[in-house]
Amino acid sequence: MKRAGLIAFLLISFLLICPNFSQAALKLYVEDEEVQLKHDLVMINGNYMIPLWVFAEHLDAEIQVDDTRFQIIFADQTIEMQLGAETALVDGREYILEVGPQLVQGEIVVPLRFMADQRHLSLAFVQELNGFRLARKSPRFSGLGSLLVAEAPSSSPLAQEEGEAGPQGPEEPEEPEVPKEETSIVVYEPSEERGLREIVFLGGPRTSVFLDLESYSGYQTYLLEQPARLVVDLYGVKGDPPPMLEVDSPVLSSIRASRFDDQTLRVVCDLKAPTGYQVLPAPGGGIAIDFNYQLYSLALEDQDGSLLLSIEMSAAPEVQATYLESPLRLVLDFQDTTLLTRSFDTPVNLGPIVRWRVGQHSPAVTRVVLELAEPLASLPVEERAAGSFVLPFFPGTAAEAAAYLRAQQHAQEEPEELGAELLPTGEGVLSGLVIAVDPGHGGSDPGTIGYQGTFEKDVNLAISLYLGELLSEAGAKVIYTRDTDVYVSIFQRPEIAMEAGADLFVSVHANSHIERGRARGTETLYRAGDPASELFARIVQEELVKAITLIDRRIWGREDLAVFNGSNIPAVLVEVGFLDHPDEEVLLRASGFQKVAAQGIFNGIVRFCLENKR
Amino acid sequence: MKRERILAGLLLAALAVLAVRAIVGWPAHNGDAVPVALDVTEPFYPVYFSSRDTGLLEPEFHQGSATIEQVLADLLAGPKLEHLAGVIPADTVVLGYRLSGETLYVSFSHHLVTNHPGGSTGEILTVYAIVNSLTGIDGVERVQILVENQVVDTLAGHLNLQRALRKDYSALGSQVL
Repeated sequence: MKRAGLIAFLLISFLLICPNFSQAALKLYVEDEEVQLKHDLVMINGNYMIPLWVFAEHLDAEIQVDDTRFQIIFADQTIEMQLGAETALVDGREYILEVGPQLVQGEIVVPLRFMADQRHLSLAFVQELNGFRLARKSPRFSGLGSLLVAEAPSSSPLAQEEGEAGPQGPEEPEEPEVPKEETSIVVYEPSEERGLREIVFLGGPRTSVFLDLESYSGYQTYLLEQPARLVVDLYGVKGDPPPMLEVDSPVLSSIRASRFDDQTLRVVCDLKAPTGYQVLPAPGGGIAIDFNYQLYSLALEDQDGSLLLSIEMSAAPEVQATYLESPLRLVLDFQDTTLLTRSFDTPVNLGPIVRWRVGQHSPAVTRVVLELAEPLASLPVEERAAGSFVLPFFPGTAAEAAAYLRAQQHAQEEPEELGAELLPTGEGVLSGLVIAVDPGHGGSDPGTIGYQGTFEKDVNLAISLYLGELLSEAGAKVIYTRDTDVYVSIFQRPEIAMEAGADLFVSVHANSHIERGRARGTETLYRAGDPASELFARIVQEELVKAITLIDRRIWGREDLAVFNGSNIPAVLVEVGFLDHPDEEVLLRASGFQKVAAQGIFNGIVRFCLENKR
Repeated sequence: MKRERILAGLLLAALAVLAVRAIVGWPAHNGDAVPVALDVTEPFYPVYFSSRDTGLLEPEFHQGSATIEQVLADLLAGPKLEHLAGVIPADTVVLGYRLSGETLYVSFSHHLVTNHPGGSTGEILTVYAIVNSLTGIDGVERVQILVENQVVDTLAGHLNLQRALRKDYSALGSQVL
C-alpha cells in the first residue's frame, strides 16, 4: 500500500515537473545570433543569469578573473564584480545587485537584467524562439511599454535590415525574406531618461534627503527593522537608478536605489536606528524626506538648587509643555523626535518631582512625563554645547513662569511683549474688533493628507496667515491660535480666543470624505443653536464660494465641534475644499488659490460686520 | 407606400418592446442599489453607512433583533448595498463595550484614529454611523467612543469625543455631493 502511494507520488511529481522541461531549454540570442549555451539558463531569486563568457564571445568584452573577483572590460565601460557579492562597481561607482554572480555548473553567471541595464541593451522574451534576445536596438515589436505583447510589423527597421542582409539581396528591399511573425515580451527597454535624477543628501540639524525626481505618480514608504531602513517605493519612475550614496549623519549611513519593477524605483535609506520621518513632496517637483531629531539621552539635574533637564540631542529640540492636574504632572513633548534610549518609568526624589517616565509617544513625539508633588513649569531650552541642551524648570505654575519670563524681558528693556500673536491694530473697516483665526490641526497632527502628500495643517496655516494679514490691514486685532507649525489642543483653541476677548472666531480647515476622492466643494460649519453664528456661516460661505468657485455644499450647524466649546461669540469652521480630491488638492496647495480663499473669507467677515452694524 | 410599411413595422417593434418591458420590468441602470430582501413583518434594525449618492449617512436594514455585538459586527463588516460604503477605517477592531445606564461605552483599537482619512465630513460620518447605529438598540441613548480603552479628545481633530454622543439626524439625508 505504502509502495503504491510512493509510486503515485513520484508519478504526480514527474507530471508536475514535466512541463518545466520545455522552459528549461530556454535559448539566448544576441541580436539574431543564437548563443550556443553549454548549460540551460538558470534563474536565481527571480533573476535569469547569463554566463560570463557570452560577453567575451558575443559582446566584444575582455574578461579578467582574479580568484573570486572578475572584471568585464568593454571599450567604454568596466564592470567589476565578485562571486556571491551583491554589489557591482561600474566605472568605479557602486550599484546594488538583486542577486550576486554565482558559480553554476563550472560557469560564472551574472544577472542578465543588470547587465542589459548597464550596457543599454534591450531584453525581450521571444516566444517563437523560446528564448531571450539581447539587442542593441529596439526589439521587434510595435510600441513601447512594459511587458508589452505585440506582433512584429514587417516594416519594422530591424526586419528591413534583416531583409537587406538576406539571400534575396539588396535588389528587393521592399520584399524582404518573409519575416517570421514574432511575439515579443519586452523585459527591459533601455531608457535615456532618468526619472530619479539624483539623490541629494541635505544633512542639516534635522537630517534631510531630497529625491530629485523628473516626475512620479505616487509613493509608498515602509520603515523596516533589522536592519533599520526606510524604503521609499517611487511609482511611475522610469530610467536607471542613480548610484549608491554613502553619507555621514547621526541618522543615516547610506542611500541606495534600485529598480523594483518596470514602473517602480525603490530607494532604501539605511538607518543607524529606526526613526520617525516625514515625507514632503516639494512644490517644484521631487520629494524631501526629513528624519526626526535624535534624542540620545536625558537626565534630571539639580544645579545649585535649580532643577533642570539635561538633553543630549542631534539639534535643539522643540518642546511642547502641558501642565495637568489630578495627579499633578508636567508633560514635555519633544516634537519630531526619536528616542534612542530605552523607555523608562522610575521614581525620583528631586525637588517637587516624585516620578518620571520617558517614552516614544508617537512616531513623531518623544514624551517626558514628570509626576509632581508641587507645581513646576518648564522654561525655554538653552544650548550648553554642540548637541547638549538644558531645559530649566521654574518652581511654580506655567502662568507664574510666563510672568517671570516677561519680567526678565522687561528687565532687558525689550519692548516686545505678550504679543507675538497680536498684530498691530490700524484704522479701517474692522477697527476695534478682535478676531480669532484658528488654523486647524498643526505640529504632530497633520490633519488629512492629500494624494500628493499635502498636509492639511500647512494649507490651513497658509490661508489663515493670508486672512490675518487682510484682517489686520482692515484694522482688526488678530489672534492666531497658532501661527507656526505647532500642535495646539482643540480644547485650548476656543480658550485662547476667549482669553483675548475675541468678537468672532474663524477656524480654517480642508476637508476629507471617508471614501477618499468621493466628495468635493466648500462647506461652513457653525455653532448650532446660535442665530448669529448661522448668519455668519451663511455670509462667509456665500463670499468664499463666490471667490473660489468650488461647489457650494452647505452650511451645517453642529454642537459637537470642540473648537466651539464654551464659546458665546459667532463661531464658524470653514472647510475650504476637499484635500482628498486630487483636483481640489492641486488648488489648495497653490498659494494663489490660498490667497483667493483668504480674500473670500475676509469678504464674508467684513460683510457680516457691516450688515450687523458690528 | 414602401416607406409607410417600414414606419408601421418600426412602430410595431417599439410597441412589442414596450409590452415586454411592462411585463418583465426595466433593467436597473448602473449604480442602482442591489436590494437586500427584507421581510418587514419580521423584526429588523438599521445600520448606518456612507451613501455614495448623497455623501451622507444612509441606513441599511438588517433582518433580526439588534444586539450590541451584532450591530458592531455589521458596522465592521461594511455594507451589503453597492451604493453604500463602509465607515470604519481598515484594521479597526472592537476591544470591548460596557452599557452603563443608557450610555454605551465602546472601545475601538487605535486603527480607528490612525487609519482614519480625516476631515470633518469624514469624522462626522464615522462617528455618527457608530452612534446612530448603536442608539437604534433599545436601552442605548448615548454612545461614548473610546480608543484603546481610553477617553480621547477627538477622532480626527474636529469632534469632541470626551463625552457621550446622542443620535444625530442631521448627518442623514439631503444630497451634498
